[in-house]
Amino acid sequence: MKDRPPRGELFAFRHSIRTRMLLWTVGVTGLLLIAVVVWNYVTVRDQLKVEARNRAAFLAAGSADKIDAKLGPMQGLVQGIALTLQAQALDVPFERLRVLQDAALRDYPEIYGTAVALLPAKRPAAWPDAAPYAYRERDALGYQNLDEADHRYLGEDWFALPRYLDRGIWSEPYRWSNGVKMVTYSMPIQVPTPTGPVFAGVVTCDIDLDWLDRTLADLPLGQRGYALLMTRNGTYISHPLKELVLTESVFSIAEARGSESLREAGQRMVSGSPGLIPWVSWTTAEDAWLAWQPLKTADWTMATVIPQAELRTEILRLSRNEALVGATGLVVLTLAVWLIARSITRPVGALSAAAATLATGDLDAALPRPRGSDEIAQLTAAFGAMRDNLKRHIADMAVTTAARERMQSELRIAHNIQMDLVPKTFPIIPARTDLDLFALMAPAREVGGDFYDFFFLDHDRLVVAIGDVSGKGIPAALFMAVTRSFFRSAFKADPDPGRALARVSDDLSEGNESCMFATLFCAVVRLAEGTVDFANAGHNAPLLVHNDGRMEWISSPHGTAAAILPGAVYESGRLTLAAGDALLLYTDGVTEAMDPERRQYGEEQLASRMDSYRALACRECLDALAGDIRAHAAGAEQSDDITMLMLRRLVTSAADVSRDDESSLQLEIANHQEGLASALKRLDSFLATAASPPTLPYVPRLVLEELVTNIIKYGYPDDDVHGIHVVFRTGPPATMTIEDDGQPFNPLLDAPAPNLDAVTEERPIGGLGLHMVRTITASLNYRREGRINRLSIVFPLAASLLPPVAVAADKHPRPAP
Amino acid sequence: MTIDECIRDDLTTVALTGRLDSMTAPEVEQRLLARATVASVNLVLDLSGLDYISSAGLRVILMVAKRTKAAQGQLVLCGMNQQISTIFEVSGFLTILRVVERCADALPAAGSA
Repeated sequence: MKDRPPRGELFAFRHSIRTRMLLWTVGVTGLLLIAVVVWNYVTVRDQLKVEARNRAAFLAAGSADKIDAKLGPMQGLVQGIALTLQAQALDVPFERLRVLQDAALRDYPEIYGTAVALLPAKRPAAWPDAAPYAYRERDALGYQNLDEADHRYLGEDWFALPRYLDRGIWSEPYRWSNGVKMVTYSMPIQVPTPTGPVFAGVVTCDIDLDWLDRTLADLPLGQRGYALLMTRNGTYISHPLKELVLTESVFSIAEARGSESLREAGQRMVSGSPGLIPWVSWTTAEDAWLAWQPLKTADWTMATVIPQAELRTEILRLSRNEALVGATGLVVLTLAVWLIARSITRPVGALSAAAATLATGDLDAALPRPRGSDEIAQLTAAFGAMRDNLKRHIADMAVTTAARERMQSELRIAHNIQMDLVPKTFPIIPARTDLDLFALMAPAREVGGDFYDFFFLDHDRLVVAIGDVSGKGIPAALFMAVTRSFFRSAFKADPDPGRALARVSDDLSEGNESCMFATLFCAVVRLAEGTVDFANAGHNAPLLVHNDGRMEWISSPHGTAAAILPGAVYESGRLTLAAGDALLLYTDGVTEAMDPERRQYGEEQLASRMDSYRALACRECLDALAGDIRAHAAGAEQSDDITMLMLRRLVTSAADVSRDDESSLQLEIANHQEGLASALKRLDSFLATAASPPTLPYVPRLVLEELVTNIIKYGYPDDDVHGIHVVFRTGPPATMTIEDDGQPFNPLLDAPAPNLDAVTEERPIGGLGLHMVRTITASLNYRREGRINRLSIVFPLAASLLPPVAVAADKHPRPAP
Repeated sequence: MTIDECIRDDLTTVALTGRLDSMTAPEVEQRLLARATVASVNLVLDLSGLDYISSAGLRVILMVAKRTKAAQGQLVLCGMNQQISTIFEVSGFLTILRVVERCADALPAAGSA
């Protein structure tokens, strides 16, 4: 049973198909068989009862016949001798008589003895005895004269009864003088005389009762059945209980027991007609049939007692045979079912084991080889096909998944790249007090086709732009990237919005096989005056929010979308931003944002929200707006990219724009060497003209050089141009703040202190600058604010910057070169 | 930044005038390293004309010191003003470089080594 799962035997017993088949078929068949046997037994039992009764009667009759058959010839013998003597008128020589008697004993082994007993007066003269008797004495024959002195034999039953009844007659059983129990048949001899036949004597033959007992015992009555013989008087001639013979009769026993039923039975038995009654065996005390039959030869009754159980053995034997045949059949059936079940379950078991292996993920596990073309073989074949399909499917899926993961990873990178394409450092750098600007972009997918941009053409002129490329996803994103770069270069060539748009459109439409297009809006804001020159290529009308709450859609002039046709012309418009006025640029992802019922956010709602958010700064305003759009969508999938750019002009005074005065210096430093050089130059000249030197002049210079060098070298992983914003104030105490949008870097923590005690060869080159900065400043304070590193420096007063002791001891004059 | 070089006998004197910062450091580095790599050079750096030095300048000085040492030569610095001296002090360079106050003392110091 190696194919059986390694569970407990009981578990397998209950769960194996084979066992269930066996249990069901064998169980049901067995039950049927038992039912048939029982039903058979019950229906045949009654019939067999009658049968048994008949059988009992038959046995009794048969037994009687057998005894008759024994007794008949004896009677014939006796009659023959009597007739011979009669015919010869007793004139038979004695020797001749002896020969007859010897022949009788020789020929009839059942005869114990035979005699011819004559009246003494009738004895022929030649006979020495009146009553010669021949009998068996062990293996020889014995002879005796029954006529003794007193002629007592004349009174014996066996002589007197035939004499007077004048017919052959069987005596009652008696015990002879030598102790042998016997019965005697006597036949009268009537000698003919002229006056008629005259009784002369009798011929007898004796039967040993032991012989009768043996004969009865040989009757086929079964183990516990027995036979008995009784006379017409009810006296027992033969009975298994020997003590009853001669001494008791059925009536004496009935009397002794006070048994009416026995007496009745006795009466019926001696009545001379056959009969049968239920009986309780005396020998075995069980229910029996008592059947009797009068003998034809003697006036005796033959009776048989056969236990009903003995008779019932037949039924039982029948039923047992039936059960035996059934059980044999059952065993054969069990074997057959087991074989069939095994032929089914073995491949199923093997298949199940293979399936279990398969389920663990081992798809290369071998399947059992299907044999034949039965259902199991078909199942195995189908299973194999499934396995192969599964393998192929998994392989396909692995490839697909890998491709999708690669795609997703690329999309993630693309998303990052796209987000890096738009300026997203807020507050903007350089920091301005006359401008609040914020923008946000949320692509519907990983990447989108929206973009915004802003940059300064110079200190006063700010370019802002927003665009929306047709379509979504990767194609839109690629087109968006192209658009943005065309856009920047177009503005560098010519800062007129209309002409810039025309140029972008021409650039885009060139080789635009995929017929994509973009809506664009761009504007040049002169912050000092507040004038805004703008042009629109098919884009949503921006919303102008006046500081007094009026709303104005900037819908004209309005041209066609860019990249559709080369040679498009865009008209520039102009508007003026008063102090506090704000301009909101957005893409249609805002106004067309849909809720689950596909209702759009709409321009009215946009305007009304802008009205309520009017007091908020640009960042807070756009955040609130984005939240409101999300609330409107209520979980509905974002259908389009959402991009918004908002700017507000804060001041108009030209004096406020330039904040450099005698006590402070603002520096916008580009992240390259030249930017640093010019900044240092400006710091030098500022320090040179400062009213009173706030600190030793070389200290701020050193700090600026070291820190900005560090930012330029390590702050930016990209190659873009970044601005570093520095404010120096003379104080006192003199302070400097440095702001950059580079990678987070805390010079107080992130730079290792150089090992100042190392010898020359081991001294690492570098790391010194930050150490010097830390050493020569009074305090350094670093904060990361959003995407901005902000470093605040406080310089020591000039007086505290005394030279170190070693050198200070020698206040040398500058030596001549 | 001006760089004056004077080679007399086995003594090389280089006088640096102006600012030694990240802008001027590359040029100074190139010039000085050419001198420092000469075998057994006796190099005197006259810093009396130096107004300003930043870590970029210190880096050049350190490189020169290393090269001189590798070339079995001698390096002496002289004539630092107080600012420069302070910077050398805080950077720990005073302990690993030979510095004399007056350049007149530097000549015998370089030669005697």
